[in-house]
Amino acid sequence: MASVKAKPNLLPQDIATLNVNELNPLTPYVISRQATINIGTIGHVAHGKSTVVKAISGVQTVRFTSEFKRNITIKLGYANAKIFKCDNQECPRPGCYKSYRSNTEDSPNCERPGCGGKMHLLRHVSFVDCPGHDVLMATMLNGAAVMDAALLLIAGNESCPQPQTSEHIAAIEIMNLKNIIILQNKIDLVKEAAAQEQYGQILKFIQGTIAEGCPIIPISAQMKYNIDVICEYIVKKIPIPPRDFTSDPRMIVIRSFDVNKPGSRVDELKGGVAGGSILKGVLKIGDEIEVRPGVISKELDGKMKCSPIFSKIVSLFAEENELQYAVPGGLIGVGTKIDPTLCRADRLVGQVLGSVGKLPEIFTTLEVNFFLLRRLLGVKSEGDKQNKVKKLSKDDTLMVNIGSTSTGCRVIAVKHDLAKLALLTPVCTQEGEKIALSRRVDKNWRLIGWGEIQRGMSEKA
Amino acid sequence: MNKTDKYFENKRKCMFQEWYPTFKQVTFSSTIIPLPKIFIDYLNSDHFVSNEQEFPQYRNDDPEFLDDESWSTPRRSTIVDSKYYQSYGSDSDSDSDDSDDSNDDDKKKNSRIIKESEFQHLLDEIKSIITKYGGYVLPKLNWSAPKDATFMNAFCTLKCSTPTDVFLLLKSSDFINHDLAQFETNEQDDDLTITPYVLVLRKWQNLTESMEFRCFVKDKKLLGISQRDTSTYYSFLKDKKESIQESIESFFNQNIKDKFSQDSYTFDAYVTKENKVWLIDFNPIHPSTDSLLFDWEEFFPELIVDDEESTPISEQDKLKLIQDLEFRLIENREGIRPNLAMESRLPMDLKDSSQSSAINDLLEKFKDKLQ
Repeated sequence: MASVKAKPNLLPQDIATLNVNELNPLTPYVISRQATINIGTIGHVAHGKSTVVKAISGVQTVRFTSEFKRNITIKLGYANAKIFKCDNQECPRPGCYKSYRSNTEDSPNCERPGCGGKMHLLRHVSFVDCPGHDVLMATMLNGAAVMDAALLLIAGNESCPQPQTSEHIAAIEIMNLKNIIILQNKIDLVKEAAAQEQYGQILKFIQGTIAEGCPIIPISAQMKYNIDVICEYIVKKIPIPPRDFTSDPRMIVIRSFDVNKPGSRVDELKGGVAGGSILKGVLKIGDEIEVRPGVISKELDGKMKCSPIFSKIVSLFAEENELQYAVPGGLIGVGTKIDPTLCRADRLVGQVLGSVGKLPEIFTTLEVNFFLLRRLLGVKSEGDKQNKVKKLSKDDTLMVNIGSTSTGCRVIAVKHDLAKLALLTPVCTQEGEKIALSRRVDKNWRLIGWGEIQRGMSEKA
Repeated sequence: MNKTDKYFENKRKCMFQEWYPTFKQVTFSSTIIPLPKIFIDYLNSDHFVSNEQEFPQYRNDDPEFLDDESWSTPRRSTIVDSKYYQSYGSDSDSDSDDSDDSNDDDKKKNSRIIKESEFQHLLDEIKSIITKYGGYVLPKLNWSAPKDATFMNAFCTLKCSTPTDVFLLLKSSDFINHDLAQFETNEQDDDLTITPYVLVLRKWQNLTESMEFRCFVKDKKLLGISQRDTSTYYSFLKDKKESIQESIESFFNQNIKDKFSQDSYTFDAYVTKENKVWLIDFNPIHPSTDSLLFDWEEFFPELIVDDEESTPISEQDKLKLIQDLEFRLIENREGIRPNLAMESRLPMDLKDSSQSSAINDLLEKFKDKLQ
């Protein structure tokens, strides 16, 4: 791979002339460098999910081994891709559509022999592995659509529906995704008649579901067949999502690290890096920022203390591309002046980064209105006492998920369907937010119910 | 003893208490506490409560908030399906479905209720070790540290300053569960019987993740070194690669090679800014050990089992056997990658959605509130 600095063909971004009111998810200065549309990829790993993402984005996905086996499970993360169309009117569709990696220059030459056209950048999308449990949890808790569209993958060499497929459709429904493209993958492995038959099965299957009427594209990710059709559909069928670029910026931190060489001199030390997805607003280099709840420490008297972090943005990047400003879409890295040791090993995960003084409050204790399930999820047998969800009682230790944060809590008091929870780590949130409650059952964290924050108590100043 | 695990002997030799006495000089200060059966029962039990004095507390100026007298009026904006959700009568705390919860399964192994005061001696010992190490320790059992449970720690790390901090992490971790499944404890044994399990408390070190490396040894030969944090690109590592490799190689030759009881294993090493190498711990050649930037097949093709699920693989697709030391780093800056280990921060019901029907169920039951 070439040096990361060499990006002469990306459009320069200039904060001095930036007017956030004029930005939209197609602004060339934005999509030259970062993704603005999030597309969930839904499907069984064995159906070739990672091959599809690789075929479109060129990004190799991470492999994880759990057993001494070949063809080990492949877990996906995020992968960004630029989608182009050839500007030569004579260039036939769908071949005039093409996708390249996120760091590709904005007007590469058309690859069609003898075409001579230039490719024109139309979209910059971020593929996110779905249901991606964090995404699902966040959606369930907040009801907000994290994804703008979904690619639903079905293996062309198996009958439809496979058991997972209906679950995937259910996940799409809960994520409230209206823009779906179904991919009939591995089409190279079956005869045309079989593919036709499966096409009929799919049509029948999606009738009456949220996916009814969505396009179905036969593809072979392996042979790179019809990838151009996917690109054309992404451009033509997925509407440009409305985005809030003008509010005070807010980002959920999903990674944080210290990238310094040990023993670096103070003057060459780089500040901590936080990575995450921007919910709203625009982050700019030079912005003064706050991270909440910040640093947790223990006082001499044994009491815990939390101190929000105040700092400044010194760099921004999306995949390999350096940015001057970042908008919602994909994952963004934020270089700061924060003491790097505070960012080590994902210590800031779940925290919120945004403009100074504009973030929600930090609560150390919550009062919640909660709803407990009668039984654990996914348990069919009614008689099994073990699967009954026990009531909450004082001193119970639980796991709570609040937005993208997970922490432990102790139940201080319960009255009817109200409970007071002492949090292990303070959380930056607000009244009315939803939380999920889990308890250790058979040595696993199991979802037992959810709640809504009635009021929260902040730390004494 | 775990009979179904054919790699168990190798695994056993990698237990902390097996190797620590030999390698004391080259690893971080640690204390080993043999664990009595009562503590293993405590860890295995679903009963999970925290007492008020020990649970981390923040300063507050509203004592009323913390009592059980003052309550707000619920907004009642949400109505849920009583088929799935417990109901709460206004004047009765009990729910018919729930009335018989407490007694009938008491005898079950994982519902035994054990108070921390029942192992006071252990508690005191942990306290004095924490003091000895300057106030903060990192806990682990025979093999694993509860790295997956950092959400159950106020600092979001493995840094513990009280016995409660230690227990919160241990009881929340699936990695610890994995360790606890390796030996059977005898139900009939007395509570104070010492089990094969140990609690290890190591002096807390604020390590730089970029300088941790996993090293793969086959037949006493160092064959592979991998960056341990595989989700991050550290630009400076490329230039230090040679010196890190040299340091690890000489550390291996001088301190590990002829001293460890096994011929094939992995060990984790930490390299300081002065290129001094510290041993972190040993891991077995086992499917449960993460091979990071390598494939097990590259070192031990003989261990690979092809089953029905795996598609046949042609000779040329087979990975090349590594015969000389190879050092792998993440070499491209590819931007922010999610940390996949973060999955442990979610309830199991959401983790394996593609495999079970739990997700359908969940979606069904949560629907009410989304409307």
